[in-house]
Amino acid sequence: MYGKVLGASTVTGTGAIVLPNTGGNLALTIAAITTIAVGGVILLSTVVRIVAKKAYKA
Amino acid sequence: MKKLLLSIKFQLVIGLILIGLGLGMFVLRDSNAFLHAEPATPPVKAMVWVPPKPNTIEGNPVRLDLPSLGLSLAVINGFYNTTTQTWTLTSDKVQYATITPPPNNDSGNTFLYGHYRSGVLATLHIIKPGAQAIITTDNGHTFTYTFVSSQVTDPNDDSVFTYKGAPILTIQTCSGLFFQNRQFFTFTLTKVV
Repeated sequence: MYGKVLGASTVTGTGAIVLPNTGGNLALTIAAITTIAVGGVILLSTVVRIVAKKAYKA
Repeated sequence: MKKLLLSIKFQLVIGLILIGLGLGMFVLRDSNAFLHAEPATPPVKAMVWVPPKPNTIEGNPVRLDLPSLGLSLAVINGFYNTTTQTWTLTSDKVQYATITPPPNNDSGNTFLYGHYRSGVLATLHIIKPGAQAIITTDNGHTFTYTFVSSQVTDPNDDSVFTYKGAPILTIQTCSGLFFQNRQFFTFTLTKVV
């Protein structure tokens, strides 16, 4: 009923086949990581400030 | 002093908000709302018709079931555009790469692919060896495959297109922090009805 479609042997003649890009949203991934990093730095620096302040008082 | 405490509290809140926001975006990165879906592209290369061998059962896939993951997904034809090097890719369906053999009981590697997103193939990575994949074709056949192994590869790996041998099924989705990898899930044919 169905015939076969020739695969790579037919297509590779025209150049390499790149696999489908089946990932999610790359821009959102980068934005998420950047936001987490900035938030982490702010949090860490604030904690360091609090600790330093207490140490200075002592 | 009070001003300073206020400032520290404010910074703590800002830091926590940013981290929460970042985590939220990280979770949403594979959601439908933010997903870039490419429209179907027509096949650039004419397909070559080869008559099937006698007694070969084959058909165009229309549905993929992965019972162990609770997934039942519609399958559409996926075409490769040689000019733009892009594939038909939807945000809610699985695509069958038409340049590979359709599900059959003779030979070749049937290649399906879909987005790494909830509702499509985001849970595929937890599939266990021995799990079944059932493909229903438009001519009423059911092909049952058994999961054997998975393999992470790069976008230029064309091994799925050069495969020759017993009939197998390969399902691809992306993996990696930035979706930079492609992950193949290989199944062997166990039953045809």
